[in-house]
Amino acid sequence: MIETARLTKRYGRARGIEGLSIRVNRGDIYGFIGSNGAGKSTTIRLLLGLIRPSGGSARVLGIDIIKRKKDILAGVGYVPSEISYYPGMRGLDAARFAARLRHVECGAEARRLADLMSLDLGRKISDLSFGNKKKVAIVCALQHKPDLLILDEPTSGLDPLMQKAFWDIILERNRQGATVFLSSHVLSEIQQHCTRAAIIREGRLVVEDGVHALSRTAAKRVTLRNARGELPQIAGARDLTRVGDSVSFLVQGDAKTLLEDLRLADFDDLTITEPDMEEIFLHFYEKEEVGA
Amino acid sequence: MTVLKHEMRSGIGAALVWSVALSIFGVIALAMYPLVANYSDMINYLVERMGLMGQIFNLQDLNFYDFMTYYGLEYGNFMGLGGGMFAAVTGMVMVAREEGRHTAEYLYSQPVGRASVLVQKFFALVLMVTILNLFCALVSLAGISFMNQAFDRDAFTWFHLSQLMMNLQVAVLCFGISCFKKRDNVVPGLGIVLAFYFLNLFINVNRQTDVLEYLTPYFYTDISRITASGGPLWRSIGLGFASSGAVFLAGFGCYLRKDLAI
Repeated sequence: MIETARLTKRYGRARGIEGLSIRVNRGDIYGFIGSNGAGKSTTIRLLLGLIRPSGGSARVLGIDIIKRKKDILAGVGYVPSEISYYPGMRGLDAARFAARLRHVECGAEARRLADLMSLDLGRKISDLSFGNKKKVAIVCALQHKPDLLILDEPTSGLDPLMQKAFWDIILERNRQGATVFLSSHVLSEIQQHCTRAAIIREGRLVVEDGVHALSRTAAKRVTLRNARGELPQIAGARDLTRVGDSVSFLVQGDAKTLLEDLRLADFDDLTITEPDMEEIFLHFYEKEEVGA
Repeated sequence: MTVLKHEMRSGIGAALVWSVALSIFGVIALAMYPLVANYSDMINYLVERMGLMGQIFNLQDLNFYDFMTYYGLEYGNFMGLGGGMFAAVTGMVMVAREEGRHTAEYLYSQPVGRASVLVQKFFALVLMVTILNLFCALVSLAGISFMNQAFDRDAFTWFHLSQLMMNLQVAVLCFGISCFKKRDNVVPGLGIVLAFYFLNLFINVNRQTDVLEYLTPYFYTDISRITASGGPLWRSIGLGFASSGAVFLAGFGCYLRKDLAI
């Protein structure tokens, strides 16, 4: 559904993205992770044809992003991280305007989506909170039932209940066949909902893989309960923290070596868990920094 | 047509406010004509002795016994500037405001081509400028009929047609400039209108400036030149549109390829 090959965007001397190659397959819920300024929004704007690449190429829905932008946009629903509407518009006007530009009638679906998110489409957008403006953007992006959803930090500004309602809608669409590409700072939702993910740092791809594979390739979180005395030297251990009687650390390497090292430690219980997405993110970021 | 309708809905209010405001000035000028007509001998006498001031405003070629002379001079002054400013302001913001007010991302994430948006916006601009000119001309016509004032219908038509052409030329130029810009700023448009206006005053003083005649659209809206040539100055209008059209096409081409500021 999305395929980029060495996609590059430079703003004069400033960096945008550099040689980005990613692949989003049909039916994926694909997470795009990166810190502020990493190049997530630049990538999305390139995919939508809002800006032109400096190098490389990209295809969305099998269509080149430069040659047939309009055809791409016909099959895409896009939720920007922040959005402005025309003055005086109500939510309903924004949804209708978008539908008319698509030459589709989807008023019923717009009302259904608004009901699911408890959004009053009759209110002026200028009177709405940031979260409610985001809901209007979600209605505009989803009402025509696109094959591909591109979501730029879609849950920012939504309260936890609305985030759940939003994800219920997205997962329903995904079950119906839609592919989802989303950037997010909320790593837990990527871990919870995404099938594949990419981490981008300073415009360059750090890693791209299935979310489960990313979890496996990263370090494990080891927690020792009622740990007494000094810990022995454990190969590859880092991020060591003590909370009460418990000691927790990240470790990368094979389990046999870890158990061998732990033989000399004094503790009552041991848990080894997959790290959460936050830790994976930091792990890959730190690795990049060391390599840099 | 969606963008065209949207532009018309959001811009028609401002166009009508400008139309009413300029028409009020027009009606006031018409209401004052009987007074001017009573003193036309004195006004012609004074104009002959105004020297440079008379030259600047091209008064020495005018005959204040004639209604169309008075109408063209008065109307040309406020409608020329007012209509030109409306065309400039509307032209300058129509495209650039999408980026300046951050609505470009909303608009261009829908399946609509930039060329289609530009064409629809341009037609909306042409429609609004035409509505303003038609409204003002019709109010003037109603006022003249109400006064039972005899007038040269051909000169009236040529004059208003020339005013419309001038407004459209300014609109085309400012629309083209707006395509290059990332922020909606009306100041350059207003500056262009004032520069055109004062360039025409300069031409009035210095009659040897043939080339400059084609640089300002105010040249071909002058009532004395229109009546002297027996119709609109099509050569000046054509050359004016050619130069503004070149800027328009360059802006159009740039807009199709540029990165949108979000």
